[in-house]
Amino acid sequence: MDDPYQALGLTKSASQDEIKKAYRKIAKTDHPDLNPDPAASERFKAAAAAYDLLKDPEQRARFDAGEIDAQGQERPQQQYYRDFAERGENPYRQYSSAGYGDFSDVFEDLFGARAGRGGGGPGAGMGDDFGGGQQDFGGFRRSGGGQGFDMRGQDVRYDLEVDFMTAAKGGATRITLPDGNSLEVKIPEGAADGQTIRLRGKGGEGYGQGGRGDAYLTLHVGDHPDWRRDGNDVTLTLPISLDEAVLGGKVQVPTLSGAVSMNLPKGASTGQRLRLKGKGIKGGNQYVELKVVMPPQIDAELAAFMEEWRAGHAYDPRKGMGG
Amino acid sequence: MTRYTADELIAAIEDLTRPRLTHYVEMRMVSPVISDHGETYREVDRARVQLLCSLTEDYGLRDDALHMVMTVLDEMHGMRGEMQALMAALAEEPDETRERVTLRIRQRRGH
Repeated sequence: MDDPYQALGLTKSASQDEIKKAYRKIAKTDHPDLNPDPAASERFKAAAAAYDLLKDPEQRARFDAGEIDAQGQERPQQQYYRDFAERGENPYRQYSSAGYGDFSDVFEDLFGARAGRGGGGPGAGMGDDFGGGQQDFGGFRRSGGGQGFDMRGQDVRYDLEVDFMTAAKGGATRITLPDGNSLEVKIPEGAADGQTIRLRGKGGEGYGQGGRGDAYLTLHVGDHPDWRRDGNDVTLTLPISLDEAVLGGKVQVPTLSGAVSMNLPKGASTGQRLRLKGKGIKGGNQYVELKVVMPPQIDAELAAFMEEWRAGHAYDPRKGMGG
Repeated sequence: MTRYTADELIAAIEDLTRPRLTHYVEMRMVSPVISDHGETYREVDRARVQLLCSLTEDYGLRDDALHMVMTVLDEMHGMRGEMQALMAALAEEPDETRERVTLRIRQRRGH
């Protein structure tokens, strides 16, 4: 950006008000979310950078006095809504195959049958995991007198984050919905990422005699620093000490249902996987991935021992790697 | 994965105020992620709220009109994304296939 005033179509004498107006005007015609033309996007970017520099009178005065220049004042590369909305997984997209008539099958083959995800898109291709909910949609009926009508409230959809352990073991989590409704949600054991939980009657208000709609919570299972999950199998990274790695022996291992004792083989290595049968989710397995951890300090005794040991027992774990 | 609290979101977006955010959420025009430690906003929510603010400020759109525009924009952006994917896939096909598809499209669209 050479001249921020020029980017806004103004001169140095413009008032603060004119600067704001000029920026708004460009935003109106050239906003990348509304105008797909790359030239418009460039104009908007330049205007936004100019506006950021000039909107603060103090900063503008420093620029006018030559104390700061226009370079380096650009907004950090910002993603517009469009950048997200064009992706397949935009959570706000309500319908997709609707409107393709006879070709909706073709559409779904190509782009996948998407659930009617958006805030209020009842019925638009709800997925199977909603178990029969679809029949309930749009169950409105005209009341006898023809005055007003009763309609079931809208179904609403939320994203719910649950921590790793709650999802693995099952449990309850207390949440407040954006409409202020506070409630306890039961998370089933082994809940999977993307799974949907239906809360009957926790959706939008009904009209007339109509009942409330349902709320659907899409689960997002969080990561855990020590645990990983693959379906019903879980993997725990277990740190072991140098002497445990060399000598083997019994170690206590956390599982989803409390600690158990496990036999460590002699000469265990980082990355080695051991199995605890049936200790995963619902009869799945737990794997224990070992990680050898050095003592916090290598004392003189250990170093001396190693020196001596190396003299007669050196080995090359990188043998045959080439390079 | 960047996440924003409501306060962080308000700080990040020039035209966003607390009542305005509450209103957008109540209208379900933006839907934060819920968890047992409160609500958070993703990057997609940040970008969406930014657009909502700009439509409110620059075009004076409110409630129903705003909702309608967002629905249309979601559909349009989504379709553009799908169209791009379709064209990218087509571009990788052999000439012969592309010509056949082109011909079919012209026949359907009548030019």
